[in-house]
Amino acid sequence: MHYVIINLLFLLFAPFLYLGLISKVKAFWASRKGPSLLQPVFDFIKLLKKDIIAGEATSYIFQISPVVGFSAVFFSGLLAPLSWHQSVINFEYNFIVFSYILGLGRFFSIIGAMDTGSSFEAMGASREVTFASLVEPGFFILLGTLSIYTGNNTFQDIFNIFNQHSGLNYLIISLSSIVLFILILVETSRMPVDDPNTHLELTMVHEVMVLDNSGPDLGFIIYGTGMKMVIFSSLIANIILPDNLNFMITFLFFAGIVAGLAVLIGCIESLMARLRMSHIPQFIFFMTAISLLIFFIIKIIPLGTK
Amino acid sequence: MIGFLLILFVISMLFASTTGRLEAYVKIFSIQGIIFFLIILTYYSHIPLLDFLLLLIETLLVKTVVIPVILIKVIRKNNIYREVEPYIPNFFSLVISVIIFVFGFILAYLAGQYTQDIRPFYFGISISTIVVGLFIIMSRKKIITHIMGYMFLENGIFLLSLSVAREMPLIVNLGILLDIFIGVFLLVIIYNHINSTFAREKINIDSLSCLKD
Amino acid sequence: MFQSFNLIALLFFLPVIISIILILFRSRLLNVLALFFYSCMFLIIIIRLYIYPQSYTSYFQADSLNIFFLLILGIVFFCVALYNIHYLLRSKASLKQQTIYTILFIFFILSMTAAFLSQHLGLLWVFIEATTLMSAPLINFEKSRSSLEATWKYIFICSIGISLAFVGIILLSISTGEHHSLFFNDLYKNAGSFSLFWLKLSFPFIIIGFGTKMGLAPVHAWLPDAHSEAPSPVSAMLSGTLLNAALFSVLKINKILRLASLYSYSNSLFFIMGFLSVFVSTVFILKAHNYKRMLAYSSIENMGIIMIGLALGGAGAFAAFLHILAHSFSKVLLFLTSGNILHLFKTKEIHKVNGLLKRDRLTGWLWILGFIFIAGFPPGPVFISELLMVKAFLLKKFYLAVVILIFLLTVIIYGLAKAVFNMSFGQDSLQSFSVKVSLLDYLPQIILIILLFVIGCFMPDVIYKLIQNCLMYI
Repeated sequence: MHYVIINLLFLLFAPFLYLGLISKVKAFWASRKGPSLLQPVFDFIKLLKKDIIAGEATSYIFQISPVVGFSAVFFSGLLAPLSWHQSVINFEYNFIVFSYILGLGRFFSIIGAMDTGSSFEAMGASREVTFASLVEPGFFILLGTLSIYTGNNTFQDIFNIFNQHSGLNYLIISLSSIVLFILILVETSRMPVDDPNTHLELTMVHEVMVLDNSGPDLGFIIYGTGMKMVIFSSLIANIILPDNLNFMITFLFFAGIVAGLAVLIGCIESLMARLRMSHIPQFIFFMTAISLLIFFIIKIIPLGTK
Repeated sequence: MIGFLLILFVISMLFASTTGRLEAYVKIFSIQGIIFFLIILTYYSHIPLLDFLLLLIETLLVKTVVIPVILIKVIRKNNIYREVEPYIPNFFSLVISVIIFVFGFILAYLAGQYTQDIRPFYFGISISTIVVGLFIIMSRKKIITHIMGYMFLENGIFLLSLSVAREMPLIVNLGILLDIFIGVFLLVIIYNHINSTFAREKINIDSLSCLKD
Repeated sequence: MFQSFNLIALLFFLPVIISIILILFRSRLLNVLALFFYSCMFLIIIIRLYIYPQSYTSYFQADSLNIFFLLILGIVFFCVALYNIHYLLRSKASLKQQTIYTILFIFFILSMTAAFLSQHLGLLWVFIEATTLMSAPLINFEKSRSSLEATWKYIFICSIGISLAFVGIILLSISTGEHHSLFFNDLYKNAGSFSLFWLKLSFPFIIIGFGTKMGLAPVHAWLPDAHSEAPSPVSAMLSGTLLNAALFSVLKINKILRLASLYSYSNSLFFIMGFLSVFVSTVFILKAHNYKRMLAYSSIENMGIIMIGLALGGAGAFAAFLHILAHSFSKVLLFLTSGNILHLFKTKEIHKVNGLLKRDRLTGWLWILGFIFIAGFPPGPVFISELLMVKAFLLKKFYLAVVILIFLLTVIIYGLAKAVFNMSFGQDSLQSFSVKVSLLDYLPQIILIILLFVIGCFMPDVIYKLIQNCLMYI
């Protein structure tokens, strides 16, 4: 039972620290001291105290879309395995529900953006949809492959790969980590897919969608993005970690890997430029290609490589 | 270990099908040479010593150093750096190469059930690489890219000959002969010849198309 | 004394010695005379090998199939070497270039001979590859921009083709299972026990690979360029013998499939590629504006007909072999005559050449006779071979196919006739080039016409027995 409570607390509070860690790393690369680690908490509380200002062209969709978006992310977080390979809610084939609830959230944020009547936001929405539609088959193929490979079908069990040590397992783990990492970059709109700091029309993808939101809506959207990052980072941590270590050590390693991924994202943000817009679909499809590769690896390598 | 190397090879081929920079092709080619070198090292006990040494020298020296250096010299001397407008845009090239790899793997799966003589993983990757090399030749315009596509084709054939190498080292040596011969002849002599002839006449050498019907 | 001498070894060492002599003593006259001498010796040795077959180590042997092709090569080479005398002597290239030309020509012939004689599949492949490398600089002899482009296309496309053929050979060797030898005798002996999956997988690669060298559609793209830009003796050699060499390789490998009972598979592939070749060349001959390209497309068409004949079997196979013989002779005749026309009119365009008969009566008649022989009119052997093929079609009840084939052939005859007659008759165009035309420009063609006429009218026993031996070999 205490697994569930610790995981729930982790899910609720880690996003702030995650976002703070990313800003700290970026500041480090820029030779600045940067905002404190808890700055996202203060920003969130500040935003909660403000009013919501809705444009005249908007309707009720604009008002419910941040709510639906955030609750979708939160519910997916309950389905995903966090530390100790445990998810809060667990039933068969819950990874399919996971992916589609996230899709529901994205759908609502997109129609909320289009509801403002600004073509500017619609442009960002269409770009976001393109990237998301390219990345989804990759994610599904990966999960399906892992499900076939381990023979289990709940989200938390398919990540129990590390239990047998073999070359094939190491290969699958490393390739899956790469796939999931690129997935983080695409889903949460980080470099090199999207620049969260740019405010130039031509280059915005996700930021432009939330341009008209204010107050608690904006706060929850940012919180939701952070939560998505934590969820996917914990997926990567779940693939890498084995199942049979001590209770405390597992949690420490888990938190360490999630923090390490935050640092990695921060480094990538500081060191890479955003890809040219026409190169982003290639980049994303590359990820799909690698997940296809994983599928064929598990089919063919057992036939014999020697 | 070999699985890692082969997957790196596949990823490098995927990257080659989507990039537009000419120097990137050459660097991918030399990385593939290093991958071959490492793969052959692990086969130390299976091949007779002389063949083994010959293969080592060939992969390490010729593929990783000699041919890339020649190619980069040619690229820099002619100041062509990018394949700007291929017939098929880069994104669709990537999609098509992935489909080719999928078919190659399916073929390898079917083949792996028919015979025990080959290593199915090598086989699938090599057939896919050959077809992707042909595809790169067909979808690009510049001559240098055609030559690079041919080099990737050669790498695919080399990998194919390795997949039966346990029983037939003669085939591998024939493959090496083909590689080196074509590498030298095709690249150095003819390309420089074309270069000097066309440079004298100040005409764009990038698409030879004066003989048409 | 002659019998104890290994003729095949002589066939290999003679070119090397001649090349060394040519490098040491450089002179134009020596170049052409050395080539002619080599061609005479070649013909004599081949005739001797026909009467008393020999073998040289286990790798090279003269058997009933390759002696047929070698005889064609010998006669064609003799005629081309005769023509080459005057061609080189009046060419304006430097002495060094002419020496390189002659040496490469000699080695080109050597590699083709070795390819025909080889009894090992890998060695056959190596020598076919060598023919590509040796003949490429020959195409570039005139050093113009278009010939450079033709050389590039030739080398590139043929190298890709040969690499694909190599893939096919590797797959074939996988299919052999435990027997690892690639000698043809061993392959034929064990063919029944080969794994069918790998054989079936390897054959498309082999036929596309060697088909690239042979000029089968859809991989024929280099052929019109290379054959039209090369100097006339080289075009004649390429069309008359190199295509045969690639065909020979396909035949030998096809025998493996036949012995493994896969004949319907290989026959259908031959059929498809044959018809595609005939169709492609029909389309392009109609719009040809360069008479050498027209002849090159006619080569593609003839190769297509040969493949169709081989696919039919029986009377069709006999027709195919007769067609190989007839096509080689008539195509060489046509190319050498086109060399004359080029020398007279200095242009390769059809519409710029007029009144050939008025300008040079003998060349005009040779041109028309060449067309008659290749189009399949009665005194020529092509008529017999096409008749036999129609008979083979009707025996197998492929009525639609034979109608399509006859239609395509008729269109091709129309295309060729239009060009030939436009060029031959009419008034002489007002270009007065005074050129020297010597007896040697006509003699090879006359020899070939006599040969074709004799074969077509009388079908001497020698030819009949030769072809029967080949058919028994396949």
